[in-house]
Amino acid sequence: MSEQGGHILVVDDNRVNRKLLRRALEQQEHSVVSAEHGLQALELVRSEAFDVVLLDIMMPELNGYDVLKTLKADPELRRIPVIMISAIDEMGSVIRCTEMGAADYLPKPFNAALLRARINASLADKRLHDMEQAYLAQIKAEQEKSERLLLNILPESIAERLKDSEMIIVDSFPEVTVLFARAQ
Amino acid sequence: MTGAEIDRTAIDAILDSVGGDVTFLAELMDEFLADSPEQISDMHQAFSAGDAESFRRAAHSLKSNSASFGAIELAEMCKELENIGKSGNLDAVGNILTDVESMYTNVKSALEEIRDKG
Repeated sequence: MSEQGGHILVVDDNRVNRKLLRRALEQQEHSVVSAEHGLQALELVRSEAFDVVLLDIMMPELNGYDVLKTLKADPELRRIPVIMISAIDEMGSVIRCTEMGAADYLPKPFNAALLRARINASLADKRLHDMEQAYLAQIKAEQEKSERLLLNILPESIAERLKDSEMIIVDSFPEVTVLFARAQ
Repeated sequence: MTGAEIDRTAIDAILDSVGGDVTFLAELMDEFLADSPEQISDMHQAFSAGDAESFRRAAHSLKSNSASFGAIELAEMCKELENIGKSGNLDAVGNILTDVESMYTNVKSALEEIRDKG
């Protein structure tokens, strides 16, 4: 169960499918943007942050395989979960997409409960990843802050030696003499 | 050719996914009924041009929409055409395309009846 809606990109050249998916997803409290083909989809993912991409396989311009391949090769975009839209008789295509990094697939004709379950599972994965990234960014910021603090009170070479875990440091500078012994 | 059977569970599934909005369902049906003749025409053109990939794509779209609206027989016939397109040799199309047109006419009437009953 998702706590809040996600921002979802629907990519399908079939306007009946696009319209139906958009309405079904909006019904489930998600915001939706749609693209008619792969090139448009790639332009959109580079200009907006999406939580999940629902991607049809057979499309003109750039097909679903090419879009998926491009997304997975881009470090900025590879973590967006991609759910392939596929007819049940296209299982070979689904397997190929899964091997290429697709998170899941949604069989056509759509089933509302399955759509909800698959979107929410992908949203949960994406949110967990986003949370990990936020923690990492926070740790990095704290680290930089403590390094700046260290450099405010010690010469840079001493700060570097402390970071290298030297046990005893004795050094002299024009304005300061440093005696440092780390407890065992 | 008999009248088209529409699998009502497919229509109910659409309604279920859009919160029971019958007006939206009618709009969606109208789009299907507007797009399908174009897809059939695309198949004719691709067949005449010997363009198997375009033929396959048009058959695929009509198959997908027909299945969504519960027109199972039409979807099956389109699947057959899609597979012929996939094979790259359109010689096997024969009368199937004409049969698809007839079946579509029946599907259209059946869906219009459902739509008009609300």
